[in-house]
Amino acid sequence: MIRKKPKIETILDNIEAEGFALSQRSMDYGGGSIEILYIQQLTDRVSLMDFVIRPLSLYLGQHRNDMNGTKAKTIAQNVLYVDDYQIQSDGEEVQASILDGKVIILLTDDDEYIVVNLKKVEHRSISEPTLEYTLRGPRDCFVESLDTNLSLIRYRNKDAKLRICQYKVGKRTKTSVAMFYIEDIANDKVVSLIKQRIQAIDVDGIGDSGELEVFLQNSNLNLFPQMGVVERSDMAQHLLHEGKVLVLVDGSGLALSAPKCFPEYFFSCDDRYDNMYFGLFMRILRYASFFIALYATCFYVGMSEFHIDALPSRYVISLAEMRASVPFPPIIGGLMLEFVVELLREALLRVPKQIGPAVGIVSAIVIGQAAISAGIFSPLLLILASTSLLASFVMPDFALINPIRILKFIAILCTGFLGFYGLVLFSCVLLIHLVSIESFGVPYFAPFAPFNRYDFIRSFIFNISISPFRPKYLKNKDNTRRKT
Amino acid sequence: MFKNRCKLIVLLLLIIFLLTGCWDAADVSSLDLSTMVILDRKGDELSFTLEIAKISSVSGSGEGGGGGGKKQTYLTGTGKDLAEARHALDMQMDKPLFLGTVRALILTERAAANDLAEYLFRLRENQEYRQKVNISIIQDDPQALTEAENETDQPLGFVIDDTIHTGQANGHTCAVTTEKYVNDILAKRGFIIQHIGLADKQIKLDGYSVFRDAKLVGFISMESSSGLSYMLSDQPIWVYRLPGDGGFITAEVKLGHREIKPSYHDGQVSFRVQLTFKATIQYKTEVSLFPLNEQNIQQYSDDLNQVLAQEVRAAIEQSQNEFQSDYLEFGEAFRLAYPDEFERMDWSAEYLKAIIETSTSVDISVSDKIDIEAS
Repeated sequence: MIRKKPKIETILDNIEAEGFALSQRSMDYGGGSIEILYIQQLTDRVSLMDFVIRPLSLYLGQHRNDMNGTKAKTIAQNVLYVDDYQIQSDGEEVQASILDGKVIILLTDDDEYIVVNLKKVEHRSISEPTLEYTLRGPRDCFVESLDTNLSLIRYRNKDAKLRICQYKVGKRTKTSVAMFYIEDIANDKVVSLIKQRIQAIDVDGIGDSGELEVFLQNSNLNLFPQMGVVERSDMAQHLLHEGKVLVLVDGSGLALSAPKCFPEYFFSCDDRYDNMYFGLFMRILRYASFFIALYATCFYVGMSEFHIDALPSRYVISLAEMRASVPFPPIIGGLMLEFVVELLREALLRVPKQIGPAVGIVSAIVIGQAAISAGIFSPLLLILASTSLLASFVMPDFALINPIRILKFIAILCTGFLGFYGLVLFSCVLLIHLVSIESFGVPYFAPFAPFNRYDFIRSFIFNISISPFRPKYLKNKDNTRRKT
Repeated sequence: MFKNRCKLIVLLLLIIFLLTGCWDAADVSSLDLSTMVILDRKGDELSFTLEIAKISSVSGSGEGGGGGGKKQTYLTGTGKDLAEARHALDMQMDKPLFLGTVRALILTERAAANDLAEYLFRLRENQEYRQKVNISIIQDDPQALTEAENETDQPLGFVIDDTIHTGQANGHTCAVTTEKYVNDILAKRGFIIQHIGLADKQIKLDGYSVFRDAKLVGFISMESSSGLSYMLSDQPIWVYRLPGDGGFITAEVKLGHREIKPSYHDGQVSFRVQLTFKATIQYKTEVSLFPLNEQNIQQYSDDLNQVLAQEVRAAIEQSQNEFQSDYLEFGEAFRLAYPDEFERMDWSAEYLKAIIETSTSVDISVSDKIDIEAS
């Protein structure tokens, strides 16, 4: 392959023609000049001044007349006070490097040029997690800077086997993507699958890990997420030790983890730090919450429309009293109220924080009370829909909430048309779907199906001291977590 | 492949919609919820009286508006037979009738005397009723029963059901299901049904109506039903007052163990009934009764044993001689031990000739509340 030689004039002409808003600093000497090209917004200008321009000025002051024939390599090695630099000769790379936030130093007398990494992007500092809140665990979470995130992972994993593969994704954005795994633990198939999928991405650009996830997961038609979302660095460390592969995207504060199985959505970060019995209790509570979130309204619809005889007599009369003035059939009432609840949920996400509580109070209390007084909704339905909403927030992983929100409506429709028979049919189809999908080669419903006793027990009772093995369904290279 | 899949999906949907569907739906608020059914006979006419819960809106905006007054209403249908009476009743309904909330099925003695069997068979076939619905007999006119009062003004069906359940929980009454009555009728066994009555317009448990060949043959008052409950109830509890030195002691008696051993030799059916009681001396009426010592405690135990043996013996004799009905379920014990012989014999006749020996023992103790060493 013949590389095009950079001619300083050609390069400058090209860049000027492209109309980049870049900064250019020229330093003349006897027979030529040194051109420093950079984008102000992406460059650490203090470092540029101290470690590039100042030493170059001093050097030029002393050697102004014998600079002819000076090579870029000599300047980089002997003059500049920088550690992260490269000597490049491909003229077409100049543009990409500048856009990547690097400083380009061109010399009139050399076809090679220096690329110095003085990149500095404004980003927020490490703050407390917002998605994976913890009571007693570490609170440092990922930010939008890939370098900061890398430092957090490196800080927690001093393992020589930690592998970090970096890629540029997006033809236009050239977004940095880093894949992490521990070489002697992670399953090679999963690693190579993710590598292949990242390398195969051909798109203008990606802005967040969510966009990358779309390209990595098995099927985009699936309602359930197949990759986990990690916000906290300690969780990232635990997942790496479990044999998972993590993917971080520059500009995203959330890492992706794979493979991810359905029962893992019921783990919380605190489960590792709390008493195992409390962890068991919480996990049972979360499973119960999942069912409540999905089925609470359906039960109301099924009971009041089809299966009144399944209720004790007194409750039947209470239920009838609650429904006495409601004009809509239970299925319509259920769908309407769930729709209102979804409106409320979405509104509270979007409104400014200052008026959020006020909107919550107005919606929940005023509208709720008024709807009951006006006889639009049954009080029991309102209680169940609110409980369902509350239960959905118990899910430690927000990724599972979204499928529940959609499935709930389907479940209500099934129950409203076919009673509990419809609900059971819906549940069977859901279960069949869950057991038939995979996340990067791992059965999604593991360890329930295929059943593994060890993993099944550990999915409820987990404590590092009594769990010497990593999850078997992940088929890791090294399955031993702790030597017994 | 695709065509086959489509066919399969269409078939599946067809099956789903043919099996059930929204046409089966019946909104709970669009039903008449019945809580009690009374069957009465007056001469040639049978009548069904339904207690229907009044549904008032909890939001206060609907009909009824949560006002005071009775929370139930009554409808009566009369006819020459059960079907006609029910038809007459149906003609008065403004909404579909829901019988799944019925908690008490009441038969007047007049109706129970002849129509019980037919009614029970109807009940068995009617899937709308709950399996564990209580059946009771009343002596009073249905009208009098519907005028009964209760503190919470709730439907009488609930009050009767609660009263019977409380009686069962206290160990005074026996729990019997409709299914058992039907089986008893089919097997031509005798049985008893809870009898309820009114005392100052309040529902109370009166005793038991005794049936033989599905016909009402007698009544056992609650006061004289202790022996019967020792034979039938799961955990009967009765309280006795025994005379002592210048006063009385009160003892609570629970059944500890009940064993009925049947035997069959030379065509003679016999039973050995062994009952072990646990008695606790709870209260005294006079200070002079103290101190309770081992000797007088033993005396009380013997006295109590004598009373209990007498009661059990009387209950058995009443069953064999007075009512000639095996409502004490000796037949079931015999059938389990001698199924072939039972099949061959006419149990109704054999039961009357059966030799039944009873033996009772009392394990007595003194309640912690009484200090036997006190001077």
